[in-house]
Amino acid sequence: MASVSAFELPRGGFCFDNCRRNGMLGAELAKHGAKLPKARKTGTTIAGLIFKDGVVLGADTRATEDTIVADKNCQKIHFIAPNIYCCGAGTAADTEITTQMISSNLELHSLSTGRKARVATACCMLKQMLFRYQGHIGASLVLGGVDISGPSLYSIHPHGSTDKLPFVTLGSGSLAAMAVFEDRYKINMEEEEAKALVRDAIASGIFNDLGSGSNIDICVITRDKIDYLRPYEEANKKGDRKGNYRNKAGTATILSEKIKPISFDILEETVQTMDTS
Amino acid sequence: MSLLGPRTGGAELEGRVTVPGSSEYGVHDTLRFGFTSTLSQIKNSHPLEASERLYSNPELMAGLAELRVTQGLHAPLRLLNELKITHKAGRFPCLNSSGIGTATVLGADERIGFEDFLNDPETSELMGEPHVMIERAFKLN
Repeated sequence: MASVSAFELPRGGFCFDNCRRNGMLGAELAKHGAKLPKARKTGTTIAGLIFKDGVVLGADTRATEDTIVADKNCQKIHFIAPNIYCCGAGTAADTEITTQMISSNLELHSLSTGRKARVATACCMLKQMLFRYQGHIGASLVLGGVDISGPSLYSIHPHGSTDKLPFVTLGSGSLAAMAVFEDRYKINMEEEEAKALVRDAIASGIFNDLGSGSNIDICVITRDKIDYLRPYEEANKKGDRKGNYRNKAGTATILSEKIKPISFDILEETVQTMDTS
Repeated sequence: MSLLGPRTGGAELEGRVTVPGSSEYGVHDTLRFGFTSTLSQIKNSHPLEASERLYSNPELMAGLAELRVTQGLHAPLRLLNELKITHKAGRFPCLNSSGIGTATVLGADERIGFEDFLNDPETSELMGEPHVMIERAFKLN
């Protein structure tokens, strides 16, 4: 096994050794007119709004790989803490790992401080991490939750900028969803009205944006309860098959029948005791 | 033979590139250290490479500066003292050490980062050359 020189010991974290190789491969492929494979993005519509008692988060469920639907029912509303959830748009792997890491960090933090997690803490951790990686981690997040200071909603962009707003939308279908919010949002809505508005916003993104589709997931967070409704509505249901191409039994007539027994000899018999104690 | 020199980022070049992995004759030893490329030594293959390599030190220094402002001069001095002590504790330089003392002083036991599950040094398949590393540590060369 090759031994590493005295000082270049492996250290944890990202290793950029393959980037040079990827660059060379890309140049080679470009000569033949091919391209390097791209990371799977979520091409999404995610939205959130604050209502009277808490926060409603909504997301569609389609994950795309350029023009192919990679996942028809993926989960875009991620758990961060029992009172905080986060919708993720952008590169699918980045949003998953980022939300899982922040969830773990927040759990350690709340165990160490002895207090329930706050949404502002999660937002701060996320923005510091995303800024450290200068936007190379492609995660756009809608972070919402209810803590001791009331309901909060943040939108976090890949380069680390955040906005604290009463209603936010992100993803490729964000313009369609924002149009619905801008038209009908009111302060201090009731829960059913808020759910209907988020549902309409995500549906608008699903039907007007190619990158979003399939079902609508909704998560309602209040001080006393969390309602994770997945799926809230199956907006794009695959049709039921009307005809059946299967042939009934007995359609093919049997012309002749020949039965041939296969004879075999037992060569060896072993008994193995099982330990069933 | 300073292998840390040229790869600390383009801005810190001193106009000199040392031969990596030199053994006895000052020539690159392809058998033990693989193919070499001077360009790969100078140029970062990814924009984040330099900033990631240098991230922990400025972060620590910024934290200590903040401590000095809020709690007084004694706070960073005590912490640095503890860090020096925990760095000394450990096994021979070529053997893996869990670094629990250092991690506790730095607060890394309450955080999870990419360094905890990506390329964890505990599970690395490479080791440093024991003789060279111990010579360096005990300043015997």
